[in-house]
Amino acid sequence: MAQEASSSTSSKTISLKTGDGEIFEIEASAAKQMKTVQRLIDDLGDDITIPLHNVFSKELPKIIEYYKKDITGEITKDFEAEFVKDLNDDEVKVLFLAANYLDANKLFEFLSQNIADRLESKSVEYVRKYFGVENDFTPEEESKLREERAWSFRGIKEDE
Amino acid sequence: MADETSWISHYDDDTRKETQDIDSLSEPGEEVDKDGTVISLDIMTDDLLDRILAYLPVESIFRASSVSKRWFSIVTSESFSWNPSNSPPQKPWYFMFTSSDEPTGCAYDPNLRKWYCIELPFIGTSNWIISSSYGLVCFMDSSRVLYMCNPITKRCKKLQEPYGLRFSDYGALAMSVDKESHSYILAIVKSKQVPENFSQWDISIHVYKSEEETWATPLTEVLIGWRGGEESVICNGVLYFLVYFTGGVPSESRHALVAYNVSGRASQASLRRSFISVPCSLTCGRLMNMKEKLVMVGGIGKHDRPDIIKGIGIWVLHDRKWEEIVRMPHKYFQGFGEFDEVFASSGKDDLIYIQSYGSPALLTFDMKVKQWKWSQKCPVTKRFPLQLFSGFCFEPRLKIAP
Repeated sequence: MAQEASSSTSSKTISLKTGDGEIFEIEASAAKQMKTVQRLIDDLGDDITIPLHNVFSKELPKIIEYYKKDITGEITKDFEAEFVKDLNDDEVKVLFLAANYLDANKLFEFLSQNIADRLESKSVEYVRKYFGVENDFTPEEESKLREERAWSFRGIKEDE
Repeated sequence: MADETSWISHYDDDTRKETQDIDSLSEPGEEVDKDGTVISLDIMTDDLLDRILAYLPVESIFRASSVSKRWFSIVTSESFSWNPSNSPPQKPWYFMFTSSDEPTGCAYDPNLRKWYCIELPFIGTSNWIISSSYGLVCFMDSSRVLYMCNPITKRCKKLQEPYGLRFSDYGALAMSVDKESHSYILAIVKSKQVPENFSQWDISIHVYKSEEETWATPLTEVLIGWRGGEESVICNGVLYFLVYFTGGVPSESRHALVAYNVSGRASQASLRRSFISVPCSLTCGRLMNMKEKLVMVGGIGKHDRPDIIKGIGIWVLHDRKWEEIVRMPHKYFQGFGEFDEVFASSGKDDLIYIQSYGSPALLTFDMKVKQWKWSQKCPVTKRFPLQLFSGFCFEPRLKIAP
């Protein structure tokens, strides 16, 4: 019989299983911050390993690291800067989508801001590639749009 | 716990495809589209894109609207909420005319501390009377031609002028946009000297409603010894304008403020009876709407030499009384040059811009944190000694059209 997570002195942990079959432990209080996980716990009980089909072993530890810091109230601007420092744009995107799937609001908002910061002065072509979006404007339409937006096209970083 | 659906991973770019709108998640991990196929949730839906775009500054969002047709419609859609509540609100921009005979100027973004060279499509000279509200800017030139425009998208519309406006000596312009409906009110205060009687002025107030596309003239009055000028603003449904003493009758002060209710139908007592005195001898008085409170910026004139100022002050009007908010500290005041230098000021929300006519130096005052700050240096330099600079404050909004 699954127990309700009440105020216990020993920290209760939840087991999470990624889409590629790995299992990670997370504290119940941290799991509460991920609404998707919490819903699954409500449905399945907290003694069962919770399956997360859309999150993989590459991302989940990083997400767990974030929420470990969150429950102790230690998330600072410095921590967040450090957290994303070594991630490239694609890795951040994967984390962002995972945070969305997990309905982990705080991380999601932070990563939304971080992606926006990374894209702020990137070219339109880079942004298209990044989101996998096709340019469906005709050359005439595109050149008209660019002309209207001329002042916003100066000062763009060169694509790497 | 048995899981009957199969999951398709779309992490790989090659398999990514355009999506239809997906409803909000009800069942974790599973969505079914119109065809009944199960789709994975790790693709960038409109909703997710929306959230990222909301954190971008104006420059990037404007550029982003040229990424694809879908992005264009997201950025310009009514439901796109730019600037989510947990990031600080965008401060308004300042447009500075950099030439008196060409339609060019630079717009300052105080959020990024960056200048952009923006061209206003129709402008012939910089000699306009300007009013702005919620992303729209209205221009009135000396022949009383009126344009309504969005300086960011450059959409522009010529407006019909009220009858008889050309025959006025002074005209002041004010506007107010309704944030919900995007409809607006324009008010023009016209002052014309009565021929043969130089101390008498014919004052008329003309009001335009964009929804009806018509002008009305709810008030005309003759003032003796006082006239309107070019300074007016609408705050909270009330039209405020500065009036100037022209002599012919005794008066202690040379300036006063008039309040006129443009929103209600209640008929008002005469303008002369609704004069509100100004806090001191004033030069370069400018009125602005700061979160629906009337704020005035002006030079504090010396008692014996009112054309020489001993400081620049900022006041807010509470009902009919002024409260002094701050005086410009001496070090900034000196940055403007001579004490009798003409300056202009303009502001919105919590930010006031003060600019000296003689240079492109731009000073800001943040009402919320009570902080003075010079803007990033304007890329334009003074080309000849008598060159004048002026400008106006506006909110950069992509979605509103004239």
